[in-house]
Amino acid sequence: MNDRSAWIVGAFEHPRRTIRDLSVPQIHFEVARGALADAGLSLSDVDAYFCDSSEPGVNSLTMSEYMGLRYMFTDNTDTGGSSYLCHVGHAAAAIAANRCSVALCTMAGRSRPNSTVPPSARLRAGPERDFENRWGIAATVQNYGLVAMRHMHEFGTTSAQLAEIKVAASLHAQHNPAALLPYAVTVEQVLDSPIVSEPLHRLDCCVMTDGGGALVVVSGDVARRLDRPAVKVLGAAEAAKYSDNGAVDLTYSAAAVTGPVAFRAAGVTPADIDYVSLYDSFTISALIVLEDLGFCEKGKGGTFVSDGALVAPHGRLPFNTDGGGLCNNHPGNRGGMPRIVEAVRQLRGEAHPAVQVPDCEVALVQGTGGRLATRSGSATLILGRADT
Amino acid sequence: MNGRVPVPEISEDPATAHFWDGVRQGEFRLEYCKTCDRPIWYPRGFCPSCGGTCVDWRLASGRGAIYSFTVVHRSFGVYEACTPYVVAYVALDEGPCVLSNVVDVDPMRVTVGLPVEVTFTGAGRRIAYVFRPARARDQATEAMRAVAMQTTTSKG
Repeated sequence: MNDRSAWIVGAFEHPRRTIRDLSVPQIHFEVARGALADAGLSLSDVDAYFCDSSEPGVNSLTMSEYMGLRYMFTDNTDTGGSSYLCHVGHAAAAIAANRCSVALCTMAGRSRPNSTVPPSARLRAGPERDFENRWGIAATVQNYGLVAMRHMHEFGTTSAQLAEIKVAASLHAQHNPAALLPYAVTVEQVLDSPIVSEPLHRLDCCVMTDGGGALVVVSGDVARRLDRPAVKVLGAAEAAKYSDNGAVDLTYSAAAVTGPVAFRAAGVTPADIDYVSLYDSFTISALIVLEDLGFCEKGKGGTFVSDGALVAPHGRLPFNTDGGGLCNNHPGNRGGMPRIVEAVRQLRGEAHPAVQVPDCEVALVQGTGGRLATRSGSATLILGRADT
Repeated sequence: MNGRVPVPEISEDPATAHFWDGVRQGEFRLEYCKTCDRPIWYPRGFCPSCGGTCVDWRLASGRGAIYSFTVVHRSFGVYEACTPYVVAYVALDEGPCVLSNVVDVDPMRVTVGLPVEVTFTGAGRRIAYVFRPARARDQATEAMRAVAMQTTTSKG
């Protein structure tokens, strides 16, 4: 039997949100150990390794030496917070091509510069550097303020509608003791929080945490031998969105491309999705991808989220049941890994009972890396329960 | 308080030197593709739309209108003391949308569609272009432009 389908058999989110006593490589090892234990595998079983390129000195060579890995396939793709969704897709493709059978994907980061490397070196800009941030874009929220303002202008989206997204995430975070903000908030509280960069309030912004997570992706043959809860990779896609040679349109992301590709690969439609993990760096981030993925029409995201649609367990489209980046975890300013881990929990039936989606068979994970007003890398994963 | 922020040094980039020379001389120069006749933004010596490598430079009018903006109330580093200031995408009359600041205006009066015109600041390597509300030309033309900016742009 040569079953080259791809299965997530290990998933681990670091339980801490402040980590000052460990180096970033040490966090990589802790999450690797957690995911491998979840899978019932060990470091010596790994034959493929994936991490991003965000931390100087952390890459395939240094981490494979550090953790004693012997890869036959490797990748340091960095598209910001969506990198880890790309890694899962790449692992699945490598497995399908018979290049590897046990892929380890790790991520780790800190929310504030706390290393010997100055932030400017880590965030080296490209050829666009003289034309963007120098006008005072000193933080990601300012970039997303531009996005939210245009969406409001074109479609009449309101701050109250954006606030509903934070409220839904907070209702879920109440049940997650590991979340940075494990309590519910109201629309009024979101609107009363200070404006950081118009039109975004503080509570429109995700948390800033230390931490990380890891996944183990294996071939069907390996998954069958393991007798552990397994989640199948049904579809994967990635694409970039940027200003089209100066023709800026801030109202959509590359999820408009990656969604249809992933849906087609998985053979499902938005109506089949039981749970979504949406990248929620900001409330506007989640709203835009809801539209791009086809859960509602472009411009109608505000209406879609305003009637409890996102609230688990019985909403039309339960989302981010761990509390998301908005309330739980957004390690190292990159939120894609916890998004994947919660989708795996949901499909295994291992989410908190208060937010577990009944009969959760198909889940979608959406990552939106980079900065949507300038350049952003999107990735979509569609995952299925073992018996799907 | 006019909404201006500290101007950092431009980097050494041969592809953009001619553009920044223009800024020093009070000109907003646009690189154009000679194959497909589109303006190129930001300048890079070739056309990302058609791949053409023959480019020339033309003088832009310096006029445009705000496509989107944000009023920054909390910032960091050298920008922390400048708040509130306005970061905006300005849709130039020639087509490209460029990021900049909107200055010499109360941030609360900035709107999508506001007609703006460029002004230049700095010297040496610390130079920048920023935009301020346009002085009224023909009022009908300004009104037409404001209406045009409110319609949905085409999706790529």
